Amino acid sequence: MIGSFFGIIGAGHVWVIMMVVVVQTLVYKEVIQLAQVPSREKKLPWYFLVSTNYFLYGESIIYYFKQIVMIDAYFLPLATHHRFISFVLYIIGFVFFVSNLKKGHYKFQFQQFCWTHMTLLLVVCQSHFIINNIFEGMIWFVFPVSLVICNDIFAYICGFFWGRTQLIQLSPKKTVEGFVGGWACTLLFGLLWATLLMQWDYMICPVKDLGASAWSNHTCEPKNPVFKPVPWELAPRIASFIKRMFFVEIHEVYIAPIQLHALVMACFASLIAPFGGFFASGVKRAFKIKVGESWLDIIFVYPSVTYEI
Amino acid sequence: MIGSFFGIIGAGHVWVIMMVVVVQTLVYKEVIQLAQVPSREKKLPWYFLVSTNYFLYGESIIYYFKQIVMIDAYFLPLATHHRFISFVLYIIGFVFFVSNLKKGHYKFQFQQFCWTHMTLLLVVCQSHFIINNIFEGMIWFVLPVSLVICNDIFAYICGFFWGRTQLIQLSPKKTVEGFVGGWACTLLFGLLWATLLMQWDYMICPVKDLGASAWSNHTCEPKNPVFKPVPWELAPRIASFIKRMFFVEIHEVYIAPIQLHALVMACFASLIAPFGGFFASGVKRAFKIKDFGHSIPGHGGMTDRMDCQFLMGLFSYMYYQSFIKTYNVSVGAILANIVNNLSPDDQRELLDRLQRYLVGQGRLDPGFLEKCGVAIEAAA
Repeated sequence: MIGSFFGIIGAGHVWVIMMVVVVQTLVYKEVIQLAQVPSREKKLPWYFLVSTNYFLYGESIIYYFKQIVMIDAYFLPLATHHRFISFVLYIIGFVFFVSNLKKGHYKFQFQQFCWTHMTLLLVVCQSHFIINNIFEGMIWFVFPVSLVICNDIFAYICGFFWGRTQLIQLSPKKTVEGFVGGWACTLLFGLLWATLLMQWDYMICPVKDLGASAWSNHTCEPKNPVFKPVPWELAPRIASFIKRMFFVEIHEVYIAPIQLHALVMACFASLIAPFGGFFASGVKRAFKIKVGESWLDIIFVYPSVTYEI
Repeated sequence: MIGSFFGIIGAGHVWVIMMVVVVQTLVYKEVIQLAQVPSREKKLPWYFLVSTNYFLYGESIIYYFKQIVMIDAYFLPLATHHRFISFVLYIIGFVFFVSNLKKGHYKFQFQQFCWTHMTLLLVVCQSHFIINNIFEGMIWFVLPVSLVICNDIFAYICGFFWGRTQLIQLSPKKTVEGFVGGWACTLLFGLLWATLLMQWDYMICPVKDLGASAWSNHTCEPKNPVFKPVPWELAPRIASFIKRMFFVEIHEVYIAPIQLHALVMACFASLIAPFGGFFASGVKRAFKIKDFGHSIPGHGGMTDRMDCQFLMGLFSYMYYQSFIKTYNVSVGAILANIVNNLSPDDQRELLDRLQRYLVGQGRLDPGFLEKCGVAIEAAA
């Protein structure tokens, strides 16, 4: 599975986006199935998924590929009135829902409607932001995903060795020692991994051509200044300390801003993103579900913050 | 109440916006109260309301008042990182929610969380769009609101006189005759009302100065072309018909596009906006409540009166953004942008794509592309 993950990342931006779409659809399907008992009205949640995706992917395509969309005679009206068309599609679904309300089943139908909207908000909108990040540069997808996976692994390992105090009532197996240990390891890993990833143009260049892959010469000028190492003056005390310890004279250190951003993102991945996991555990306990693709629900909290950055 | 409504509209854009905020807060309060049994965690829904409003109103202010916000030293960092700040506020609420989950109360707490989000989506986001419409011009608030109120009244009257067939199981008192009669009357009313409103600059001009009111000389140039009556040729058959009936020769009629847009909006107000009302009725029946509140004696709470308005407000915003809004750009401004900010390669690419666009639209001879397109490549 890890091999195929790296394979897809190397294959190109388009394949990664399709992978995100597939994952999003699977998660949506699982969550929606929780709310439904009979197979009577299976179509409405799927209609809303399709129309929401139409809206969100249309927005991304129009924004990132303006030069292609704006000149094509067939796409142009679709693009100019995209938001209105998406709104009309939503209204059609809304009217259909209200017309199909059956006496005696109101509460169930409204709960299903509410569940559909919440799932769309939490799952589909997040994956939209993930895809926008992919358009900005592969590193903004690979890096956050790696941070969350790394934090999971290290928190588990640290908890295994030193875990004693329970972290939160919701997930009895998580411990404070695991939490803090995972945080420290993720900070270090994030710094090293970001420094490694920024060497490759394929990772840091935004998508111009959808056919790009790890082996095509994908370059860009000018690069985002966040990747450019700049010299930082070392404080005299630190410089003299290093001189005494390692017998070398270092007066300035080259740091790229991305390395500092990596530390911030590592903090979020360790401190806040686990709450997404706790949220999912809470949902499972509240609605008495045993097992699901639990590793997926941790991932959905981080993408919004990476989009902001 | 109607008098105070008109008074507020006349007082100025700021007062109308504040009225919308007050209505939104009242509706939110009523709807949230339905989900809560004990007064234990009353704070979280209000925290989410405040942070969502911060995000949405910040977005509007930054968009419409760029010239004020971008130069102020204190506001500038808030404006530049507005979305991130709003996101952090939301995450704080989210983390607080997860930390406060208590064993045995999970289901209740999650239902409350879900209810809060749905209410924010349906109530607060809609009023954000209504407020954006007010910034674009008072008419884009007054016209939709009037259309919904008018449809309500006329549907009731027509149903009273001719009502026989039930429209929908959800609301037994609504009839098909009332629905159709309300539609016809709203179309006519919409046409007349829009024609009247477009005479006043106060109604049609976007907000530049927050102190504007009905009595200040609020003007704007250039006006949106949607308000400009243009001559339409009458078909010969209709012209001869009018000649025979009224003994006047009319060859062209002056119609402003806004009048046609008013007809479209009237259709939406009569045909689709009532579904917002049915939705609210459905919610009441599903959760076995009689009325959302008791603020208005005899008519239930604020939500009962406003339920159709939200859908209409959203529609007006979408319709306006898609079909009516004009962006003030000039050839000179864009040319300056191209010359100053694009590299020669990008300029060539721009010219190539512009040519393809014009040919695709049928405005340029396709032969032009062959002649000039080749020339561009040869020069490179």
